[in-house]
Amino acid sequence: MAVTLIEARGLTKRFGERTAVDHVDLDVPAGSCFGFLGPNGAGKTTLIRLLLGLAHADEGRVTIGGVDVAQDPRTALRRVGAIVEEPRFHGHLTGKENLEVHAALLEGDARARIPAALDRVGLHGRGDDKVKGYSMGMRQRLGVARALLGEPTLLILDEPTNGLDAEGMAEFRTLIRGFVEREGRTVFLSSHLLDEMEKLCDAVAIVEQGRVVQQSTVTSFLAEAGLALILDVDDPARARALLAHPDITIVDLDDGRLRLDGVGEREQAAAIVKRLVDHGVGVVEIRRHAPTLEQRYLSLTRHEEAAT
Amino acid sequence: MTALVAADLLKLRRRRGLWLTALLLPAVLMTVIFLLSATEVIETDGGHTFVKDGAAALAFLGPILAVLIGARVGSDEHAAGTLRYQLLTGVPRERLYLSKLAALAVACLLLTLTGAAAVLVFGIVLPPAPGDGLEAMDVVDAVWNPLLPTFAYGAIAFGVGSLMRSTGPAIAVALVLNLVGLDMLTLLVLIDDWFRHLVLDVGIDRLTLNAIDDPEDRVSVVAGAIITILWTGGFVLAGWLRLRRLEV
Repeated sequence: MAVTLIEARGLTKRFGERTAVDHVDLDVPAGSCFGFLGPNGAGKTTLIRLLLGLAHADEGRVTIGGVDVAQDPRTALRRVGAIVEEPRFHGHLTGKENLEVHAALLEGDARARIPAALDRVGLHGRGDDKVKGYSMGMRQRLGVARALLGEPTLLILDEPTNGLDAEGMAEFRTLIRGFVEREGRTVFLSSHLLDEMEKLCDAVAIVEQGRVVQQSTVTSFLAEAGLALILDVDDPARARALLAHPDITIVDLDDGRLRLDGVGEREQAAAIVKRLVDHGVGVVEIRRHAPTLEQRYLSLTRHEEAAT
Repeated sequence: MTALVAADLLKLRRRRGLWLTALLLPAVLMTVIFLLSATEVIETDGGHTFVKDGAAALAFLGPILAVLIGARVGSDEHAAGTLRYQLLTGVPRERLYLSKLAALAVACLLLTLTGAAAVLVFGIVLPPAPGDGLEAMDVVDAVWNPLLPTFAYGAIAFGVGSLMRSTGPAIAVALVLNLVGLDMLTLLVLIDDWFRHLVLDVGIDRLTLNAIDDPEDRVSVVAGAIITILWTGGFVLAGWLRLRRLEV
């Protein structure tokens, strides 16, 4: 069983009448890439600020590695690196100087790790340029380099792919998976880019209006969507009539195809094809439907919305 | 702590315009006066009088430069958005605050020393009026008289910067306080002579010019020290309280 690195219990933050984070419980396993998903304004950044002790919780507590962040921030945050909201720097200093300034705050010989950190994020050779001339993508990379200076076991990155182009995102994914798989670090990511999170994360928590509505591994989260088949036939109306069954929900897709929810086993697919062909319906394609994180997320959050 | 102060000084030094202006302007001013005097455009004797007048000029210019630096140092991390990255290292807020105050003190000392060095060199080079030669106390006065107001107004601007968290407005407010704001309290003397105990410049003058006979500065040395510490400490404390409670 994985050790829990971040544990939040009943975490609540209010701004006047508005509850930004509402009794959140969170368990982030060590050595995993954990995604915190939600739309803009759902409370992701506020929760990250609470996790890092940058804001005070009205209720609840957070521990990192078993140490209470509010009680002993120095110890709790000793091996934590983070980007919150966006990476901010002194624009009039070079990238390297910004890291030197940050290294002065850290214990040990953090300064000696600067060249390796710049190299790691692909900024080798640009460290002597002033940060005010950096693109957003370069600032994101420099933010990761800064987060790495303290040799963190936990990286908390808030919307880290903002400002990155497709190539930058691919490089970033490789970097993050490397942190987790090769170096055994824990990465906590927040994002509204569900496709990216599906590619990156081992586990996710879905946040909606300040509440965590679900937390599980990506695999089980997707599996909860249940079985389904996508069916492309020459006569959808006839197929619909032929396949009518209390255990099957038939959904018309935009492109004229049908989605059959509730079936998906190999034998079921074979039986469906046989029945259709026997009744003269041409089958162009039948395949198992693999729901994406985005589809699962939308289905869950819409369900939550309807419930409230 | 030394590493933190060095890091804060690095941020300041890389603002080359501000840093070079602060360090060189006092010396440049003194050089201009010296050149005007050496070429007999103006008549100025060297020695004690030159140093006294030069230190007075530095005591006016130094605080203005210190306001620019202090407001910048006090507000810089807020304005740049880097404060949260400092805080998430877990370094106590008081250490972050004090390191910046120490960096400001170093900057004030450096700008005062460069100006005072120019004053003293030119005071020695220019021939003094008879019986007006330099004495050991002139060297102390050339440094101390500008240093105290420079640091006091720099620290006030630092507190204002930390309170306002925005550099431009902090500079504006601190300059107004420096040039007129705090001296406005002198008007209260019209009501009662005791109110001079509320005026920062009265306290500073008492501790620097040592003009006990001057009716404007008629407070005791202890009162002068208390006035100066209370004003300066008050703004620094207010800035600290703001930082202590701040969520970033």
